[in-house]
Amino acid sequence: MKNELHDRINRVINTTAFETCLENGGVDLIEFQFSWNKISDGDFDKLPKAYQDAILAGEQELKSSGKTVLEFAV
Amino acid sequence: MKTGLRSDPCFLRVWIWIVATWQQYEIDPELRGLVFLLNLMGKDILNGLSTNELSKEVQKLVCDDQRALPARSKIFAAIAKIQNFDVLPEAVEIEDVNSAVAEGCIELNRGLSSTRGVPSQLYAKELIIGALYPGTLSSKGNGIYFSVPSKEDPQYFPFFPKISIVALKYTKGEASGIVMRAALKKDAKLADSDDLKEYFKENRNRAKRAGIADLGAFAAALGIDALYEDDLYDDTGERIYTVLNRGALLIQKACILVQS
Repeated sequence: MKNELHDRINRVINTTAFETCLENGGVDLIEFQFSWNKISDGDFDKLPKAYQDAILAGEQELKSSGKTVLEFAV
Repeated sequence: MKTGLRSDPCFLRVWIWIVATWQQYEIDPELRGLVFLLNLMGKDILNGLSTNELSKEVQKLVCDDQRALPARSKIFAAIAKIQNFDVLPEAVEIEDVNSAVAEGCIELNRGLSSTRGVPSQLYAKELIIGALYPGTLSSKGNGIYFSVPSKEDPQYFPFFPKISIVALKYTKGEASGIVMRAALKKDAKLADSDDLKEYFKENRNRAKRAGIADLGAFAAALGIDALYEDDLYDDTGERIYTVLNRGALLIQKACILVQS
Protein backbone atom coordinates (compact mmCIF):
# COMPACT_ATOMS: atom_id res chain seq x y z
CA MET A 1 0.00 0.00 0.00
CA LYS A 2 2.90 2.35 0.78
CA ASN A 3 4.26 1.86 -2.72
CA GLU A 4 0.91 2.65 -4.28
CA LEU A 5 0.35 5.80 -2.25
CA HIS A 6 3.91 6.90 -2.94
CA ASP A 7 3.31 6.58 -6.70
CA ARG A 8 -0.03 8.35 -6.44
CA ILE A 9 1.55 11.32 -4.69
CA ASN A 10 4.43 11.50 -7.14
CA ARG A 11 1.94 11.64 -10.01
CA VAL A 12 0.00 14.61 -8.60
CA ILE A 13 2.55 16.60 -6.64
CA ASN A 14 3.24 19.06 -9.45
CA THR A 15 -0.36 19.71 -10.40
CA THR A 16 -1.79 23.13 -9.67
CA ALA A 17 -4.93 21.65 -8.12
CA PHE A 18 -2.94 19.58 -5.63
CA GLU A 19 -0.97 22.57 -4.42
CA THR A 20 -3.94 24.91 -4.29
CA CYS A 21 -6.10 22.40 -2.46
CA LEU A 22 -3.37 21.70 0.08
CA GLU A 23 -2.93 25.43 0.69
CA ASN A 24 -6.67 25.90 1.06
CA GLY A 25 -6.64 23.15 3.64
CA GLY A 26 -4.03 25.08 5.61
CA VAL A 27 -1.20 22.62 4.97
CA ASP A 28 2.28 23.56 3.77
CA LEU A 29 3.74 21.30 1.11
CA ILE A 30 6.82 20.76 3.28
CA GLU A 31 4.63 19.64 6.15
CA PHE A 32 2.92 17.24 3.75
CA GLN A 33 6.27 15.91 2.46
CA PHE A 34 7.43 15.32 6.03
CA SER A 35 4.37 13.50 7.18
CA TRP A 36 2.25 11.69 4.59
CA ASN A 37 3.97 8.34 5.01
CA LYS A 38 4.20 8.59 8.79
CA ILE A 39 0.52 9.34 9.26
CA SER A 40 -0.96 6.88 6.82
CA ASP A 41 1.27 3.82 6.75
CA GLY A 42 0.32 3.70 3.08
CA ASP A 43 -3.42 3.79 3.65
CA PHE A 44 -5.06 6.65 1.76
CA ASP A 45 -8.07 6.56 4.08
CA LYS A 46 -5.87 7.25 7.09
CA LEU A 47 -4.59 10.52 5.62
CA PRO A 48 -6.04 13.79 6.96
CA LYS A 49 -8.89 15.14 4.87
CA ALA A 50 -6.80 18.03 3.51
CA TYR A 51 -4.24 15.54 2.19
CA GLN A 52 -6.89 13.30 0.65
CA ASP A 53 -8.66 16.24 -0.99
CA ALA A 54 -5.39 17.54 -2.45
CA ILE A 55 -4.49 14.16 -3.96
CA LEU A 56 -7.97 13.70 -5.39
CA ALA A 57 -7.92 17.25 -6.82
CA GLY A 58 -4.56 16.55 -8.45
CA GLU A 59 -5.88 13.32 -9.94
CA GLN A 60 -8.94 15.12 -11.23
CA GLU A 61 -6.71 17.73 -12.91
CA LEU A 62 -4.68 15.00 -14.59
CA LYS A 63 -7.82 13.18 -15.69
CA SER A 64 -9.31 16.36 -17.17
CA SER A 65 -6.14 17.02 -19.11
CA GLY A 66 -6.02 13.42 -20.37
CA LYS A 67 -2.64 12.76 -18.77
CA THR A 68 -1.48 10.15 -16.30
CA VAL A 69 1.38 12.28 -15.05
CA LEU A 70 2.76 15.75 -15.80
CA GLU A 71 5.86 15.48 -17.93
CA PHE A 72 8.79 17.84 -17.85
CA ALA A 73 11.82 18.28 -20.05
CA VAL A 74 15.00 16.52 -19.04
CA MET B 1 38.32 -6.63 -17.04
CA LYS B 2 37.51 -10.00 -15.53
CA THR B 3 33.89 -10.02 -14.46
CA GLY B 4 33.05 -13.66 -13.91
CA LEU B 5 29.70 -12.91 -15.48
CA ARG B 6 30.24 -14.68 -18.78
CA SER B 7 29.95 -18.05 -17.16
CA ASP B 8 26.80 -16.93 -15.41
CA PRO B 9 23.54 -17.91 -17.14
CA CYS B 10 22.14 -14.55 -16.12
CA PHE B 11 24.78 -12.72 -18.12
CA LEU B 12 22.34 -12.01 -20.91
CA ARG B 13 20.08 -10.14 -18.58
CA VAL B 14 22.74 -8.02 -16.93
CA TRP B 15 25.15 -5.94 -18.91
CA ILE B 16 27.84 -3.83 -17.54
CA TRP B 17 27.97 -0.34 -18.84
CA ILE B 18 30.91 1.95 -18.33
CA VAL B 19 30.83 5.60 -19.23
CA ALA B 20 34.13 6.17 -20.95
CA THR B 21 33.64 9.91 -21.09
CA TRP B 22 33.71 10.16 -17.32
CA GLN B 23 37.42 9.56 -17.46
CA GLN B 24 38.22 13.07 -18.65
CA TYR B 25 36.44 14.53 -15.63
CA GLU B 26 38.47 12.57 -13.15
CA ILE B 27 40.19 14.67 -10.57
CA ASP B 28 43.83 14.29 -9.72
CA PRO B 29 43.77 12.04 -6.62
CA GLU B 30 46.07 14.46 -4.80
CA LEU B 31 43.57 17.26 -5.25
CA ARG B 32 40.50 15.27 -4.26
CA GLY B 33 40.63 16.27 -0.59
CA LEU B 34 40.91 19.95 -1.43
CA VAL B 35 38.18 19.82 -4.05
CA PHE B 36 35.88 18.06 -1.59
CA LEU B 37 36.54 20.70 1.07
CA LEU B 38 35.69 23.40 -1.44
CA ASN B 39 32.57 21.46 -2.38
CA LEU B 40 31.49 21.28 1.22
CA MET B 41 30.84 24.96 1.46
CA GLY B 42 27.12 24.55 2.04
CA LYS B 43 26.11 26.98 4.77
CA ASP B 44 22.88 27.77 6.52
CA ILE B 45 21.75 30.42 4.07
CA LEU B 46 18.21 30.32 5.42
CA ASN B 47 19.45 32.05 8.57
CA GLY B 48 22.76 33.39 7.26
CA LEU B 49 21.09 35.66 4.69
CA SER B 50 18.10 37.90 5.16
CA THR B 51 14.95 36.42 3.62
CA ASN B 52 14.93 39.34 1.18
CA GLU B 53 18.48 38.68 0.05
CA LEU B 54 17.86 34.95 -0.27
CA SER B 55 14.60 35.41 -2.11
CA LYS B 56 16.22 37.85 -4.56
CA GLU B 57 19.18 35.53 -5.21
CA VAL B 58 16.86 32.58 -5.77
CA GLN B 59 14.48 34.48 -8.04
CA LYS B 60 17.33 35.73 -10.20
CA LEU B 61 18.57 32.17 -10.76
CA VAL B 62 15.04 30.88 -11.33
CA CYS B 63 14.49 33.51 -14.03
CA ASP B 64 17.72 32.45 -15.75
CA ASP B 65 16.72 28.76 -15.67
CA GLN B 66 15.12 28.13 -19.06
CA ARG B 67 14.27 24.48 -18.44
CA ALA B 68 10.65 23.37 -18.54
CA LEU B 69 10.46 22.40 -14.89
CA PRO B 70 8.00 23.04 -12.06
CA ALA B 71 8.74 26.29 -10.21
CA ARG B 72 9.63 24.37 -7.04
CA SER B 73 12.24 22.30 -8.86
CA LYS B 74 13.81 25.48 -10.21
CA ILE B 75 13.91 26.95 -6.72
CA PHE B 76 15.71 23.82 -5.50
CA ALA B 77 18.17 24.11 -8.41
CA ALA B 78 18.77 27.77 -7.50
CA ILE B 79 19.50 26.97 -3.86
CA ALA B 80 21.76 24.11 -4.93
CA LYS B 81 23.65 26.56 -7.11
CA ILE B 82 24.02 29.12 -4.32
CA GLN B 83 25.25 26.36 -2.00
CA ASN B 84 27.62 24.99 -4.63
CA PHE B 85 25.68 21.72 -4.44
CA ASP B 86 25.43 21.49 -8.23
CA VAL B 87 29.09 20.58 -8.68
CA LEU B 88 29.97 17.31 -10.36
CA PRO B 89 30.35 14.17 -8.27
CA GLU B 90 33.55 12.16 -8.35
CA ALA B 91 33.39 9.30 -10.86
CA VAL B 92 35.47 6.49 -9.41
CA GLU B 93 36.38 2.83 -9.84
CA ILE B 94 34.64 -0.07 -8.10
CA GLU B 95 37.56 -0.46 -5.71
CA ASP B 96 37.22 3.18 -4.61
CA VAL B 97 33.57 2.71 -3.69
CA ASN B 98 34.42 -0.58 -1.96
CA SER B 99 37.11 1.17 0.08
CA ALA B 100 34.85 4.08 0.96
CA VAL B 101 32.12 1.69 2.12
CA ALA B 102 34.66 -0.33 4.11
CA GLU B 103 35.67 2.93 5.82
CA GLY B 104 32.09 3.57 6.85
CA CYS B 105 30.76 5.70 4.00
CA ILE B 106 27.13 5.03 3.17
CA GLU B 107 26.62 2.88 0.09
CA LEU B 108 23.84 3.92 -2.24
CA ASN B 109 22.10 2.70 -5.39
CA ARG B 110 19.95 4.60 -7.83
CA GLY B 111 17.66 3.05 -10.42
CA LEU B 112 16.85 4.87 -13.64
CA SER B 113 14.45 3.86 -16.38
CA SER B 114 14.23 4.74 -20.05
CA THR B 115 11.32 7.07 -20.67
CA ARG B 116 9.87 8.91 -23.65
CA GLY B 117 12.53 7.53 -25.94
CA VAL B 118 15.38 8.72 -23.71
CA PRO B 119 17.65 5.79 -22.79
CA SER B 120 18.47 5.30 -19.13
CA GLN B 121 22.19 5.58 -19.96
CA LEU B 122 21.65 9.21 -20.91
CA TYR B 123 20.00 9.97 -17.57
CA ALA B 124 22.93 8.26 -15.84
CA LYS B 125 25.45 10.25 -17.82
CA GLU B 126 23.64 13.50 -17.03
CA LEU B 127 23.77 12.66 -13.34
CA ILE B 128 27.54 12.44 -13.54
CA ILE B 129 28.55 15.11 -16.03
CA GLY B 130 25.45 17.11 -16.86
CA ALA B 131 23.65 20.04 -15.29
CA LEU B 132 22.07 19.18 -11.96
CA TYR B 133 18.55 17.86 -12.54
CA PRO B 134 16.48 18.75 -9.49
CA GLY B 135 13.90 16.01 -10.05
CA THR B 136 10.14 16.29 -10.29
CA LEU B 137 8.87 13.19 -8.47
CA SER B 138 9.18 14.97 -5.18
CA SER B 139 6.91 13.22 -2.70
CA LYS B 140 9.73 13.61 -0.17
CA GLY B 141 11.18 16.79 -1.64
CA ASN B 142 13.38 17.73 -4.57
CA GLY B 143 16.81 16.18 -4.81
CA ILE B 144 18.43 13.02 -6.12
CA TYR B 145 16.87 9.88 -4.67
CA PHE B 146 19.05 6.92 -3.70
CA SER B 147 18.47 3.82 -1.58
CA VAL B 148 20.77 1.74 0.55
CA PRO B 149 21.34 -1.68 -1.10
CA SER B 150 20.31 -4.64 1.00
CA LYS B 151 20.21 -7.74 -1.20
CA GLU B 152 23.14 -9.94 -2.11
CA ASP B 153 22.64 -11.35 -5.58
CA PRO B 154 25.45 -13.17 -7.41
CA GLN B 155 24.25 -11.99 -10.81
CA TYR B 156 25.30 -8.43 -9.98
CA PHE B 157 28.60 -9.35 -8.32
CA PRO B 158 31.35 -8.00 -8.30
CA PHE B 159 30.13 -4.67 -9.60
CA PHE B 160 27.37 -4.52 -7.03
CA PRO B 161 28.25 -6.56 -3.92
CA LYS B 162 24.74 -5.67 -2.77
CA ILE B 163 21.85 -4.42 -4.85
CA SER B 164 18.91 -2.25 -3.82
CA ILE B 165 15.39 -3.61 -4.22
CA VAL B 166 14.09 -0.03 -4.50
CA ALA B 167 16.63 0.91 -7.19
CA LEU B 168 15.70 -2.16 -9.25
CA LYS B 169 12.04 -1.15 -9.01
CA TYR B 170 12.84 2.15 -10.74
CA THR B 171 14.58 0.52 -13.70
CA LYS B 172 11.27 -0.62 -15.20
CA GLY B 173 10.46 1.33 -18.34
CA GLU B 174 10.31 1.29 -22.11
CA ALA B 175 13.75 -0.25 -22.57
CA SER B 176 16.72 -1.25 -20.42
CA GLY B 177 17.00 0.47 -17.08
CA ILE B 178 20.19 1.19 -15.22
CA VAL B 179 21.35 0.86 -11.63
CA MET B 180 24.11 3.14 -10.41
CA ARG B 181 26.27 2.59 -7.34
CA ALA B 182 27.57 5.43 -5.22
CA ALA B 183 28.78 6.32 -1.76
CA LEU B 184 28.29 9.43 0.31
CA LYS B 185 31.58 11.02 1.23
CA LYS B 186 32.64 10.62 4.82
CA ASP B 187 32.12 14.22 5.89
CA ALA B 188 28.72 14.64 4.27
CA LYS B 189 26.23 16.46 6.47
CA LEU B 190 23.27 14.14 6.91
CA ALA B 191 19.93 14.65 8.59
CA ASP B 192 17.06 12.39 9.55
CA SER B 193 14.01 13.87 7.89
CA ASP B 194 12.08 13.45 11.17
CA ASP B 195 14.57 15.57 13.07
CA LEU B 196 14.05 18.47 10.69
CA LYS B 197 10.31 18.55 11.21
CA GLU B 198 10.40 20.53 14.45
CA TYR B 199 13.00 22.87 12.99
CA PHE B 200 10.71 23.52 10.05
CA LYS B 201 7.82 24.39 12.37
CA GLU B 202 10.01 27.03 14.04
CA ASN B 203 11.20 28.39 10.69
CA ARG B 204 8.05 28.01 8.62
CA ASN B 205 7.49 31.74 8.12
CA ARG B 206 11.12 32.43 7.35
CA ALA B 207 11.13 29.71 4.70
CA LYS B 208 7.90 31.01 3.23
CA ARG B 209 9.24 34.56 3.02
CA ALA B 210 12.32 33.25 1.23
CA GLY B 211 10.07 31.46 -1.28
CA ILE B 212 11.01 27.95 -0.12
CA ALA B 213 8.11 25.52 -0.30
CA ASP B 214 9.80 22.15 -0.69
CA LEU B 215 11.51 19.85 1.79
CA GLY B 216 14.61 19.33 -0.36
CA ALA B 217 15.04 23.07 -0.92
CA PHE B 218 14.53 23.74 2.80
CA ALA B 219 17.19 21.20 3.80
CA ALA B 220 19.59 22.41 1.09
CA ALA B 221 19.18 25.99 2.34
CA LEU B 222 20.28 24.76 5.77
CA GLY B 223 23.44 23.34 4.20
CA ILE B 224 22.48 19.67 4.59
CA ASP B 225 24.03 17.35 1.99
CA ALA B 226 21.48 14.54 2.23
CA LEU B 227 18.27 13.69 4.05
CA TYR B 228 17.26 10.16 4.94
CA GLU B 229 14.02 8.42 5.66
CA ASP B 230 12.94 4.87 6.57
CA ASP B 231 9.83 2.79 5.91
CA LEU B 232 8.84 4.30 2.59
CA TYR B 233 8.15 0.97 0.88
CA ASP B 234 6.09 -2.12 1.71
CA ASP B 235 8.46 -4.72 0.36
CA THR B 236 11.74 -3.52 1.83
CA GLY B 237 13.04 -1.56 4.76
CA GLU B 238 15.82 0.00 2.71
CA ARG B 239 16.66 3.51 3.85
CA ILE B 240 16.04 6.24 1.27
CA TYR B 241 18.42 9.15 0.86
CA THR B 242 17.53 12.39 -0.87
CA VAL B 243 20.90 13.71 -1.91
CA LEU B 244 20.91 17.50 -2.15
CA ASN B 245 24.62 18.02 -2.72
CA ARG B 246 25.80 16.14 -5.79
CA GLY B 247 29.39 16.97 -4.83
CA ALA B 248 29.03 14.82 -1.72
CA LEU B 249 28.86 11.70 -3.89
CA LEU B 250 31.41 9.24 -5.18
CA ILE B 251 29.79 7.52 -8.15
CA GLN B 252 31.03 4.22 -9.50
CA LYS B 253 31.76 4.34 -13.22
CA ALA B 254 30.53 0.80 -13.82
CA CYS B 255 26.76 0.56 -13.73
CA ILE B 256 24.49 -2.32 -14.61
CA LEU B 257 21.91 -2.35 -17.33
CA VAL B 258 18.78 -4.26 -16.43
CA GLN B 259 16.47 -5.39 -19.18
CA SER B 260 12.81 -4.53 -18.56
